[in-house]
Order: sequence, then structure tokens, then C-alpha cells
Amino acid sequence: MTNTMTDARLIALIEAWGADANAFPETERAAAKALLAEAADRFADTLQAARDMDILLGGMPAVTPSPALTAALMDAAPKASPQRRSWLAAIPRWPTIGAFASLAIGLAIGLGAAQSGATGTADDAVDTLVYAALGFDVINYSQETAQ
Amino acid sequence: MAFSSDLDQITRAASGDRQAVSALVNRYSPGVLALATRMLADRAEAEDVTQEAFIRAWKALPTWEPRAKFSTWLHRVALNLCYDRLRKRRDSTMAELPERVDMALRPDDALDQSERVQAVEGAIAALPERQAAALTLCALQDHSQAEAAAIMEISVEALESLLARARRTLRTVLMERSEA
Repeated sequence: MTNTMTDARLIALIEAWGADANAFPETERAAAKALLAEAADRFADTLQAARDMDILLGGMPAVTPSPALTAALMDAAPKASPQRRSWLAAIPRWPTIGAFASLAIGLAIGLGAAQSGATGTADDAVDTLVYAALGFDVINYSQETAQ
Repeated sequence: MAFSSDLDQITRAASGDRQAVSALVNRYSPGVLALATRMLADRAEAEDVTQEAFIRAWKALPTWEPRAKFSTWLHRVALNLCYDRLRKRRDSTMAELPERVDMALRPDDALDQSERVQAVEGAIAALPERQAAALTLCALQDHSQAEAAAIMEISVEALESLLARARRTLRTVLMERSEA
């Protein structure tokens, strides 16, 4: 590969990419290194000038974003859209659960009362069940109705 | 590896995942800010450019198509914003070169480090903008030749030419000052 690298090309590489041959384009790196190893003296001045520049540039401090800039960049970023809640979710839960529990207990008690005291027709049984569920005293109510 | 990790983070950042947003900001804001600072030689303007570049990135996230690396795209946006600002500067005022510091600049001289840095920063900012961009991307940041060329939308050969001219000009300017 050395025969494909000329002095002029090597000088051009050093002037562009600096004194470190590892920074040269990969396709020409090996040939450049070989020529440098073969005739280092011919390129000493060019290498020194490039090395001086590399040191100057390498001594430049890193630029660090301030916390304020970082915060501003974060603030400008997309925000997660709030999840949609159904109207059901908006209803407070415990009162609803309580109401359903009361209804279930009332129905259970009423059903028990109706089964023990029911003597009439199917319509009477339904009435009795509903009244009992609503908390009426079914026997008294029937007596009052009869009077 | 970084490419696929970027894609994952971009997808999550687009849906508002704060961790992904934070990762992208932490990974890329130093490089973008450094590029803008070297190009503009003005920290406040460089921060404005960084913010603008990220705002454009955030807007692009939902429809992001991985045709280029996110890093390349973001730096290209920042670089173009720098070019715009430099052109406006030239249009509005006759460009005043950043204040120069007259002193010897060879690395073996016993110079105050901050003065040397200031002088080199001034000299880089005074370079033609494409030379300054090439030098910043290749010599001051860790971009590969291919990535620096992609950011600047030029070939590696053209990048090499810009770099050689930049280093030559920089050397001449700094040597002139040291001899003055």
C-alpha cells in the first residue's frame, strides 16, 4: 500500500486531519503510516506544525449546558397527554358502592321476609318483594290495605 | 447501537416519556451547544440556537423517519441556524471580528490558559463559516469524518479540503498575532 501514498498526499492528510495518523481516512491510513515509518524525517516539519495545532485545539475546554438551559430544553419537550377518564370514573366510588350494598342487603332481607309470609298470588309475591326491599313492613301493610 | 437506542428513545420521547426526553437532552445538548458556541463566539446566542434546534426536534419527533441519525439531523439544524445568524450579523452590521488577544500562541509558551482559549476561540469564529464548522465538528468534537460530512451535507473529500484550509488559516492568524 505504501506505493499508493505519495509525499504530497501524505502532507495533505497531515494538514487536514492533524499529526495523528489514526485520524486519517481509513482507506489511506495504513499506507500513510507505512510511509511515515519509512521516511519520518521528510515529514518532520509538517508533523510538528500539525502537532502544535492539535495541542492548541485539544486544549479547548468542553462546553457544558447550564442547568437553566437543560431545564428549558426539557420544558419545551412533548408532554404526555393526560389519559381520558370516562364519566363513570368521575363518580365518587365509596358512596356508589355503599348504595349498591344497601340495595343488595335490602333485597336479601325483603326476599327472606316475603318467602316466610307470602300466601297470595304471583302478583302479591312481587308486590311483597318490592315493598320488603323498600323497607316496608309487609304484614302490617297488608293488614292496613285489607282494612 | 446508538442508532437503535436513539430510535427507541425518540419514540418514547414523542409520547412524553420524561426519561427518554432527558436522555436525548443530556446526550446531544452539549455537542449542539459547543458547535453553536464555536461558530457564533457568543454564549447567549449559542443557547438560543440550541433551544431552537431542540424545539424543532421536539416538533419533528411524532413524525420522525429514521433516514438520518438523530444526532446528524440535530447538528445540521443547529449548524444551519448558526449560518442564518452569521448572515444576519453580516447584513446588519459590518462584521466585527471578535476581539483579538495579541500574544504568542504556541503551546510551549507560558501563556495563561484562559487567554489562549480566548484567542483560539476568536480565531475559529473569524474563519469562513464552513471552515469553522468543519474544524469544530472534526477537531473539537468527536464526530467521525462521515458524520461531520453528513452534518455539513458535503463529501468527505470536501470536508478534508475545508479542514486543511481552516487549519492553515488558523495557524497563519495565530502566528501573525504572536509575531505582532
